[in-house]
Amino acid sequence: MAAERTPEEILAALSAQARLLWGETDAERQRTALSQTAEEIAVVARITLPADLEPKFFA
Amino acid sequence: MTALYTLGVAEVADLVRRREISPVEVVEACLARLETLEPQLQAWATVQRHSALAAAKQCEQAVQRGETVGLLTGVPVGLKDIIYTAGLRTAAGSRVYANFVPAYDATVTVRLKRAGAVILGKTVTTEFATADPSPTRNPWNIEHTPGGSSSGSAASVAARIVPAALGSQTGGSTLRPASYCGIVGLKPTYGRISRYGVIPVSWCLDHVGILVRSVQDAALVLQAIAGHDLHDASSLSQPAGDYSLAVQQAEAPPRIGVLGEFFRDHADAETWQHTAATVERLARAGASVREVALPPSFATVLAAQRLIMKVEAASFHADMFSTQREQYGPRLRETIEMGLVIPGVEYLRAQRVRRLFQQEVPQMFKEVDVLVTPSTLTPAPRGLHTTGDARFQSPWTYAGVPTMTLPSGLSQTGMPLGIQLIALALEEERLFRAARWCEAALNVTLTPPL
Repeated sequence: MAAERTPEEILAALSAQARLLWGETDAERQRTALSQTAEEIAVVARITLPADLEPKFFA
Repeated sequence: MTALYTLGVAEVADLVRRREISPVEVVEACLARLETLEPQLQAWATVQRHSALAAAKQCEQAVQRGETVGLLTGVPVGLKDIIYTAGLRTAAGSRVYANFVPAYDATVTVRLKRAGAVILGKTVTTEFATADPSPTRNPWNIEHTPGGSSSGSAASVAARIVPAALGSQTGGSTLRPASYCGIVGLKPTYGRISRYGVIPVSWCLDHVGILVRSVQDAALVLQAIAGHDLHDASSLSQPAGDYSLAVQQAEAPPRIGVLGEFFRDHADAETWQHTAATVERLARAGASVREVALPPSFATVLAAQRLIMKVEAASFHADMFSTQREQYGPRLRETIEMGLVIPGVEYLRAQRVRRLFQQEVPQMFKEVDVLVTPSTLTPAPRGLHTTGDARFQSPWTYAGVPTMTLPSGLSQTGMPLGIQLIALALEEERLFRAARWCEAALNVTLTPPL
């Protein structure tokens, strides 16, 4: 679960995916953006959601 | 005599209907204004001079024949260059779409034309309505950004080139440039205005926005384009309200909830002091004012909004991006690259948090009609390297609730400042009543020194 992971752990997973998609050089170029995205995922993971809360895409 | 290009939406439509002015002369005046200012402002992607004059002529003939004419008869309008216009280039500020000519009109284009509006052309957008800045300048000071992504729409309405323009908002792309340029910006409830034929950034967050110079004009334009559209899966089934009537009913002072906390912490000192002074003026004029607390999930909304936007933008662009990656600007490229690596489970969590926030938003309205914040953190930043910060507008776009910015004064450096009013979902009429009351109480009209 994302809630149990630190931003550093999330960043490691995102970076691995980025290396697979774009290669080592591009993944390194993306490091700041990857860090920011990892932080965003960590922030969203901190909130406790009711188990029965479903997403609602449109109005 | 008043220059025709300075007239607002309601004035033009009324005077044309009463045959006191010619729509052809109005369009000619706006085109001349555009030609004079465009070298400075760079606000237009495409101008359709001949089609606009022909449409104005048709409008004039219809009025002369005594035909029933629409709400926006003879009103020149600019469309952000992500809105489809049949046969007219829609390049979205992008090299990827540089030669794209839609085969059909967006629903909003159809409805504007049906209401009698004259489409002058397409206004400059940042690339695909995201964060890579456009060349457009702020009419208050061309060394400053007009904001984005609806850069050309905001600059053109503020500069009195057109009385109205359409933009869009996924984070803060209508209200922020409207505030930076000293005009009125409206983002209605999600689904109130059809997105059909509007190039998306993020399907769940995109709204069509309205940029005008008065609350009454915002009501007229919304009246003309709001309503259910079978072509748009997110379109609201609830009927549109009578927004012009709501504006006329703005007699009772509104109950205003002031949001401090996050907004007080992130606005610069001048902007926050200006907002506090503006709210004090509203209170002295009779509004009831109280501070309102943000709900618990607010702390996550900016992060969740960004995750959703990145993933949905990546989904829309994925195929084009795989073959034309080098054609994308650096910030959009980064957005897409991030969207492509965010796991699906995290995207869905951000969507569930969005639902939670939507459920918590009504708590803030228990004892107030509207909420108020500064429209932006600061006045329009100097330079064209950024379109500014969307943090004050994004939470409400994410929630899908209606918001409006009103000009409220000038900063020490002579740049516009505004207040943002926020209402509950589907309560545009309440928003209009409150906004019109505030507009009258503040009595601020900002005209740039052009």
